[in-house]
Amino acid sequence: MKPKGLFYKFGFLSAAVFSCAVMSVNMRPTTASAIEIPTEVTEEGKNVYKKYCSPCHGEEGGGDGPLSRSMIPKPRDFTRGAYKFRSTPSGSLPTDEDIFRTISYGVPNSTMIPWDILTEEQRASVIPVLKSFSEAFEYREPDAPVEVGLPLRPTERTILEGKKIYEEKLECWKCHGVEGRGDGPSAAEQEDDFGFPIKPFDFTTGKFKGGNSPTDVYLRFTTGLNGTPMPSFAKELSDEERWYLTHYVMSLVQPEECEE
Amino acid sequence: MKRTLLLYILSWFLLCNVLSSKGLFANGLYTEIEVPDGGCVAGYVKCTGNAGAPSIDLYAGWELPRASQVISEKLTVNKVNNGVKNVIVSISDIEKGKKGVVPQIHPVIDQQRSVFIPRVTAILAGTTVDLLNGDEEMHNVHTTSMRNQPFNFGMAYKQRISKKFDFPETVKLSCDIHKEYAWIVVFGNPYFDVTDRNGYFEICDIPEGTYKFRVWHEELGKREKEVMVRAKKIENIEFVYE
Amino acid sequence: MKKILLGMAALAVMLPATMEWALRQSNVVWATEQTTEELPPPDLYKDTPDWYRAVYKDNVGLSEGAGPFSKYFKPQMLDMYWQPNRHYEPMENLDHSIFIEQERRDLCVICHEEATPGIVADWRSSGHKNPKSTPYLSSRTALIEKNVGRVLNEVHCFDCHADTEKKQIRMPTGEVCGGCHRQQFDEFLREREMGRPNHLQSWEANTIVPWYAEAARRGYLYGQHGCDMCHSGAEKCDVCHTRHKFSAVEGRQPEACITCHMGPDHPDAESYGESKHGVIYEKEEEHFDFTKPLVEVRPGKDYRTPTCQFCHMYEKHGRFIHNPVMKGIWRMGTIPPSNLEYTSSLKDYPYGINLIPDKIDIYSEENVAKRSYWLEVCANCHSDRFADTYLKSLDQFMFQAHTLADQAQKIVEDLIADGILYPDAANRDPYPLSDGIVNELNADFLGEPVYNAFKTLKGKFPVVGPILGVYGMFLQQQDNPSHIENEYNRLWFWYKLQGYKGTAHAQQDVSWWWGQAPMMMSMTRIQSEAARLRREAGLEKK
Repeated sequence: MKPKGLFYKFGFLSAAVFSCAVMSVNMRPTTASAIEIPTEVTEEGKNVYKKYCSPCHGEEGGGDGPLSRSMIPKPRDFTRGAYKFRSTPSGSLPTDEDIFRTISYGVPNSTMIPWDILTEEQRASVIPVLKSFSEAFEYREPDAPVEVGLPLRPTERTILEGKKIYEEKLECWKCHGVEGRGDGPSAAEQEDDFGFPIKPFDFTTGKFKGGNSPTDVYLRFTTGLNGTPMPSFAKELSDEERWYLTHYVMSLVQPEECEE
Repeated sequence: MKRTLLLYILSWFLLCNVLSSKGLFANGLYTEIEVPDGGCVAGYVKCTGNAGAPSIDLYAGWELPRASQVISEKLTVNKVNNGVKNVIVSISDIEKGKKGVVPQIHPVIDQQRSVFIPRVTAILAGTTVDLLNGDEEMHNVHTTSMRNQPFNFGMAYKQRISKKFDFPETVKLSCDIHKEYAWIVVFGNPYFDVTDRNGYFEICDIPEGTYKFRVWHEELGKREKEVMVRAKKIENIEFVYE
Repeated sequence: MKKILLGMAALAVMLPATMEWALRQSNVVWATEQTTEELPPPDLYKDTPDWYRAVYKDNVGLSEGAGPFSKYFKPQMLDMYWQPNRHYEPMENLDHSIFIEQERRDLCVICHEEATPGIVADWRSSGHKNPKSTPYLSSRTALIEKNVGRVLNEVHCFDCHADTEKKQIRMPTGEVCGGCHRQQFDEFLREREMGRPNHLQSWEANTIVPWYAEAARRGYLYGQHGCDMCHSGAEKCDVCHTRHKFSAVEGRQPEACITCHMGPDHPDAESYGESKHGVIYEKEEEHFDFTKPLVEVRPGKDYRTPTCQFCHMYEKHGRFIHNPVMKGIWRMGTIPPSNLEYTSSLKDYPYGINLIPDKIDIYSEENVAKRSYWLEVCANCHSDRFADTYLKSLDQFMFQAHTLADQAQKIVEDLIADGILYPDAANRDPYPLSDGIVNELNADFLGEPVYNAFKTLKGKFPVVGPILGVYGMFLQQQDNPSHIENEYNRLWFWYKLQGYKGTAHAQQDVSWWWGQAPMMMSMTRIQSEAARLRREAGLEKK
């Protein structure tokens, strides 16, 4: 693929992302800091969890609710305290805000819908319930969120640099495939910590699971996805290199596939 | 529900202990004393039967030439005396004993030809382990653990990552790219050993008394045996997997 | 001046005309203002009596069955999907009401894209997702938009699956589809005019027969799984236009029919599929243009041979109708014709029972007209004389087959009359669900004599022959029916029908080896079985 093509594609994408962001301003849930997240398990939290979460995640948070049987990927098992989408370093527990964010935005490409259908108080009330399922929260505290460096502006050069990292330095293609379709040579045998097969992400879909903004994608490289084979590259890549990689993987999105 | 309740009680209990002992030894049941005339326990872990044949991990060398495919150390049994390598021997019910020393030189776990070397590492809580990559390709180091904070880092050639393990726990360390794994077993007391290729182990400076000795192997599982330790004496014992 | 006068005169002449024009202008009714006649909501059970609606339409969940004998069995759980009007219960695991209350259309797809990706992909490729993607679709959508009075840029999960009154998920029935596809729905509803067997009343046919409830009562409910899967066609459109694509193109292909229309009672798939029509279709499938509505199909160009739909959905005079039973004359071969002299009790058929249709007069005015509509179809390729001769020979085949059946029935009935049938009715299980028949039905349905027979003899009498006697193929009770009765069932219900399909669909081998030949062999077995019974009875007397 010609770098120029990549650049244009990226230009299109960022325009699309921007316009989506503008359109969805009203739909955006307010950040968790605006509301109070209870520290103790409340009666309301238990009820909300039982009604809306337990059908998939199970009454005891084991990811084994009655609907989980036929689901792929399986609903998250909360007993390990392994949360994929965080602002904290690899392996760390998530902050309450991270959990609130995932509940509110949902996880694209999964059955986890954005639960903005519930009120903010309801969503917040579930958080202590989720934490109560894992003893990890008794042993450990979440680390401080990682620092997100100053974003770079995507250019032809940054995308090219990112391509080099993707193909040579980190060999991302081994799982995610040369074209980013999630079909690399190691893709088929990947398992998550719970022993279920897990598919490497297909970048061409454009529906990034942790959010579509460049910062979200940047955070995924930096923090890794706990409980999955996706490692953190905080030690491997400099801040700038992570932006390069962000720009490159976002350029892999096929616009016609994310139009739907 | 019962299980959760049990977990609650257990974790509460453990938490109290952590607070009270303020030490590295999070299981708190262990008190450090001087052991001037402790006894020793030494012996072999053996495996009889067909398990002696080395298993070949077909996944390990998926892109390597046939000649350099690595034989996995999943179950290594010595042909001469049936001794099993990489068995962890520990004392499960020791309450007081010698002072644990956290090694200043970090134990190393290297990745060579997509295999973790050594496969099994036993450490004292508080020890820092260095993870290396000796292959000219990308690996990752991915741990699954509950008390020790798990991690998952990408590792390029010659990368070195140091990680401290603070709580007694069995940690599985894996590379998802090559489907290879290793074990790091963290103990709260210094009485443990890993068998060598002859299946030999020794644990010394044990205060006099009767203890439960436990052996654990990833394939063969657990065994336990009561052993009486006498002062300044060497006790020879043998564990046999059948 | 003269000019002005002339002008005024001209104006005077034109004035009435102008006035009239102006008046007419004010009377013009603009299309948008036109008040369309309020249609009653689509109702699958239109013009049916209250008792009928109560046992077929009113939702009872899984607490009881359907039909007149609904109290005697509980449905299979699966029936809630086959027959949602009557049996559907929303899921308990995850309460979907919150999504319906807040009308969150976006969330359906987000979750189900992953939970059930297949159906979402189906929907995405369907006309419902893009109702204006082609000029043809747009024009059809415009018609629907006019009827339902709103713009349709997408027909969403919510539109069909959300029961906004009960705030629950529902499984759509034909009535839901009919909300937009009213013409198709109404045409489909006309099947009722033609009487059973048809698609619309197939669930009725499934549950009105006493042996269905009897089998359930005797622990064979799940054995009737096969019955339910075909016979639930009534309320749903997805039997031909499969979920969630609901493609008209798919419905026009012969394969749409064959999941049900196959097997020993109606080997349509086998007979059409192996006939010259079917073989040409199979060989040249790719040249068939199924995107065209049937009415626009040019024989020989778009279709080289007819499909099931092309013949059976042709109504008359170049018009097609959205149901395939309108031209049916022989009614699947199950009903005896009135044009024969019968020797057995078939001459009294249907014995005054109102639930069963009367004998068919093949040469009635209606059927002669239907025959001419068939010839209109055939004339797309065949000469009138060839087609007429072919169809007449089909009639003759059926007359012969019914005559043979009559003779067989006579043999069985003679045995009964002479008290030779073994085991006899007094010493075996009664007719299926006889107690239920007495309790739930009355003389209006069964006719005085039959009803009284059930009431006094409590089902301890033999029943042979078309429709009611066929129970032996669906349920076996202690010694009931006997071997010879079932052999007769097989003759008329399997072999006669197979021969009929083979002949009608021009498949010679089915006609002979599945039809006429086994019919004759079966007749032989009936004769020899009767001879054996008579001999044994004679020996016993001595």
